[in-house]
Amino acid sequence: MIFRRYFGWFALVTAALWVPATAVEVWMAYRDGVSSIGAVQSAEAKAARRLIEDHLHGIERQVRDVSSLPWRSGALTEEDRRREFQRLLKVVPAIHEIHRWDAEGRETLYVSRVWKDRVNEPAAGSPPPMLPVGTASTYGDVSFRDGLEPFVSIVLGESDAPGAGTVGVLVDLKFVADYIASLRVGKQGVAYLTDRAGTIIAHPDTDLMLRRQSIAEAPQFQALSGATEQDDGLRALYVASTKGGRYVSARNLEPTGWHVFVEQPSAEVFEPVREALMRGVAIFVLGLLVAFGASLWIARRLAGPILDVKRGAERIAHGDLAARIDVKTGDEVQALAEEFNRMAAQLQDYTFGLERKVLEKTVELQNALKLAHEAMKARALFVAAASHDLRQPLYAISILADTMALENLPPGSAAALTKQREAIGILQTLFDNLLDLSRFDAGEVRLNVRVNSLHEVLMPLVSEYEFLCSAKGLAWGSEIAEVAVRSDPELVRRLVGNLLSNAVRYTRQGGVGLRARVEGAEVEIVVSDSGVGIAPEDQARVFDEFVQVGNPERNRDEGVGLGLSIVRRIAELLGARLTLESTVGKGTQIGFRIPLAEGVAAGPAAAPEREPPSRARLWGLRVWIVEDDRVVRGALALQLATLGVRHAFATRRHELEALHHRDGAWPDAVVVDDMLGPHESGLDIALWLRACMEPERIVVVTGNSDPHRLRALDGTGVRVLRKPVAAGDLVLWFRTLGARSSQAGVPAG
Amino acid sequence: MKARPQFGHSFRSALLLPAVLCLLGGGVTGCDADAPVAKRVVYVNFGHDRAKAAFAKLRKALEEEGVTRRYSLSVEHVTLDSFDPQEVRTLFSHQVASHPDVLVAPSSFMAIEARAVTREVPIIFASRPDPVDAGLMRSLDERDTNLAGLTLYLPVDWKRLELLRESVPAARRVGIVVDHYWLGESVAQRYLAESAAAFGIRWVVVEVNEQRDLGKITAAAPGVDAWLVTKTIAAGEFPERLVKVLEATRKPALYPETRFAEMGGYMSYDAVIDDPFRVFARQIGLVLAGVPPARIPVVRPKRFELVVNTAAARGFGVKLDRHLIARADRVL
Repeated sequence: MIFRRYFGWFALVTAALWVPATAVEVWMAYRDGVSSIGAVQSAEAKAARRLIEDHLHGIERQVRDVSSLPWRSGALTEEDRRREFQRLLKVVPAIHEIHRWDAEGRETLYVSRVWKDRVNEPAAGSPPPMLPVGTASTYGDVSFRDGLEPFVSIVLGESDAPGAGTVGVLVDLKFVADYIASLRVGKQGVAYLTDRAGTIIAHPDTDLMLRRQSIAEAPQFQALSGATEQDDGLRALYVASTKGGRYVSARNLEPTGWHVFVEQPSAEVFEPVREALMRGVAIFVLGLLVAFGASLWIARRLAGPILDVKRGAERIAHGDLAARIDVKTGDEVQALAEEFNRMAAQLQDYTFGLERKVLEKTVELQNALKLAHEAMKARALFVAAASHDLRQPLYAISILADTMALENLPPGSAAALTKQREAIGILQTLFDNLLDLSRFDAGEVRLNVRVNSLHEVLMPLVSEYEFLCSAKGLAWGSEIAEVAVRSDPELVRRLVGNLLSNAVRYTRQGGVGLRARVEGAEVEIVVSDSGVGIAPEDQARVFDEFVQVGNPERNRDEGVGLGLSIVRRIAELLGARLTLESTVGKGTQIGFRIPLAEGVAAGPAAAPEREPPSRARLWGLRVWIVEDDRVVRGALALQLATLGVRHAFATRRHELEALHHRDGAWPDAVVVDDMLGPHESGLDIALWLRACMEPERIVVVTGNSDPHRLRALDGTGVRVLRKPVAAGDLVLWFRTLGARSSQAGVPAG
Repeated sequence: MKARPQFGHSFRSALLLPAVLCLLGGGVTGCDADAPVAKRVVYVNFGHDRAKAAFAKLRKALEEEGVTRRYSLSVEHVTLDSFDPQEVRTLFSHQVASHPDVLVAPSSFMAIEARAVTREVPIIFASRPDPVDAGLMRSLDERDTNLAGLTLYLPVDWKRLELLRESVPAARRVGIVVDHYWLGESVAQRYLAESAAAFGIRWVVVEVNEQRDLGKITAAAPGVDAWLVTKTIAAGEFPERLVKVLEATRKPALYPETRFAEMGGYMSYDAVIDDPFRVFARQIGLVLAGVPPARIPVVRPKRFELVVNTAAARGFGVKLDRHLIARADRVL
């Protein structure tokens, strides 16, 4: 801004000085050009005229000198005259030939450079014709010999005396033409000569001369013809033409009547004007450059510190709080810069304080997070320990109760045993649910989505709950669409199982139903019951932990209130939205949807064949148990003995090797507890045994709920049972092995 | 009615002026503005030393006239081996096919053959005989031609005979040294007849076309009182031998060029072009500048030179006329 303002002023001043000065100079150059061209051209024309006239007058004078000799005295002969004329030819190269006629017009003498001289003899050969005799100097028309060289004849009377003859001289004008052609007027100016009629006699362009070009109609010739004698010619006449104008001056030649012209292009005449203009423009441009430089210097001098302050403020505004403005002008600008620097320093201190506090808080949060992780780890360890340590005695109790159920007990004892087994079942359920909640909350449960037949997923539940409903005196109804679904079958089965368990539990009369129908691209699965129902105000919290609507006394027969919590977590994991419709006193419907598997057909799954526990086909079955817990070993020994199974216990691999050595064969089945102590795990022993016997005859019993561990066990290919193992499950497996042994011809017992 | 065109408006030759000014002064704005244009000049002549010397003079003249400076000029000397017209024409045909900017033919017979093969390529010629009489041009100011050049011809043989007669008034039998070209000229027979009558002499014609013909001079010498030498092959090709043979006859001889007197000849009278190579160079420059050859006038001698060798005269026992000595431009 400052620069532009100063530059504008300087430019204005420069222009104010330049324009008048240049205008004056150009005007003066123009005046000089106009006035000088006339003088210069006139001087050139005069000089040319003088030289040509002197040349021709010199010839006349030479001839008159010869003519003035006393030829009539009788002392001189025509031969002497011839010799004089020959001398003239020698001293005046322009004279080509000379004639002399007497007073009667007879030729008395002819002297030539080419032809034979004639003295008082008739003409011979082919001499050029001469003009009639005159009384004084008379110039004839210019002729061109052979069309090439201009000649002019001059005829002079010898004297005024009576009887005086006449002399004719043929003058070669090539000498004049060469002189004219050599004249220079400036750089592009030329001179040329015309006769009295305007025909060009001599010109630098000889073609104009040879073609007898006439300028009679040209403005300069017209103007010259109109000039008075006092004018003595033409002075700097401007003649316009398509190729640019030119200035022409001219002079008349006497006594020939010829005209000498000098002309010069106006562009050359006014070259000084153009140069003056260019000089002025150059000075103006120089002035502008100086103005530019001066403006720049002043602007920098004045605006530089302000711009420094501006740039520094911008840097601070953009967050560069370490930026400082370095201005040393000793004036208000420096004071302003120092204020900015102080402000920047304060901002920097404030910002650094904030950053420090943020850092401290971040460290605290990181520590808290670390503690939380450690707590989670401790909780996982606790859950793992609880899985093992709590399941073991429960496992033993369950085995003992199942064993007692195989005996024929008195009715009172049998009823007590039944209650005991129900209590054990509740405890197992509670325990499983707690562990499941723990696993869900720890994020240890992962989806394993695959395509399955919906029948395969749900039919085990249909069989189980049909049996349970029948046992409870409830009606059962099911409708399972024969479709394939894309979901996690285990989680779906768990979800539906929990809903069914809940329905059976809270239904005292009426019935329970399971329906799975195709709805568009999904399958809607609904569990319904005719139970107590859920009040609208309670429906929002039935999926919370330990909430049991309609069980304020918390009767354990009606569960512990964790089933629907697990249902909610599974539904969230599956991405399925639960729907609940319930009327108090009439019943409840809870449903959800899972996607169909496109293009996959699914047939009905066969319902597992249920067979009640029996001692048949187990007598003589030989089983080894790898278990280090004394209580469990005792319970198992009692159960297996009751079943008629021959069994042996071991805790380590070498003990199994000893058994093998003792019996000389591997048993029909091996039951291995996973958690055996610090030396080797049940997994290690199972892997080892797999090399010795069929994997189908090995079962690993584990109470570990760690998913990694469970996946590792599944990967061995041996059967895995979760603690506490129901006696029915174990018996069922034993029976399967017993049947295979019979079929294979293995002696049982 | 306008009888003539306005000067400066419809002047046909206005275009020529800048080129002429360029050549004359070299200072016209724009003349030297552009980079030199490549031009090619072909000079055709025999390969002997005199031809080479002439070529060197031409090159020098081109430099002195500024032609070399104005163009990127290539000047080539193409040598001729034969006088045979067909061979000469063939050579020019080949040269024309190479599209030169200018052909230089330094003799009339070469120019005639060059003219026969091209009407487009400009030809700069030199001619000893009259170009019109030799059939080279219809007239010296012919307007429709690709020829420009110079001729040394002026009908000065009358003047030469007059000078010889005045120098040796007693001579009645004059030997005239000619060649077949000279004899072939239309004016030759007329000249021999008319001049013999006018001067009261008898001609003894000696035709010398080559060096071995020089013996004819010796053979004819007893019947000759004085010699008149024309511009012939002998004068051009073997001048020293010619002078020696003629002077050996101890008869006064008038030669056609000054150099013969300088070689020891008795007398010479010549129409002189002071520097024919400069004339050539100027004309080549005009042609290269775009001026049509028809607009370049044929140059003829404008200066005459009488030279008398007093030593030779004394050798012959001739007493020179004082008036003749006074007329002489140079006395050796």
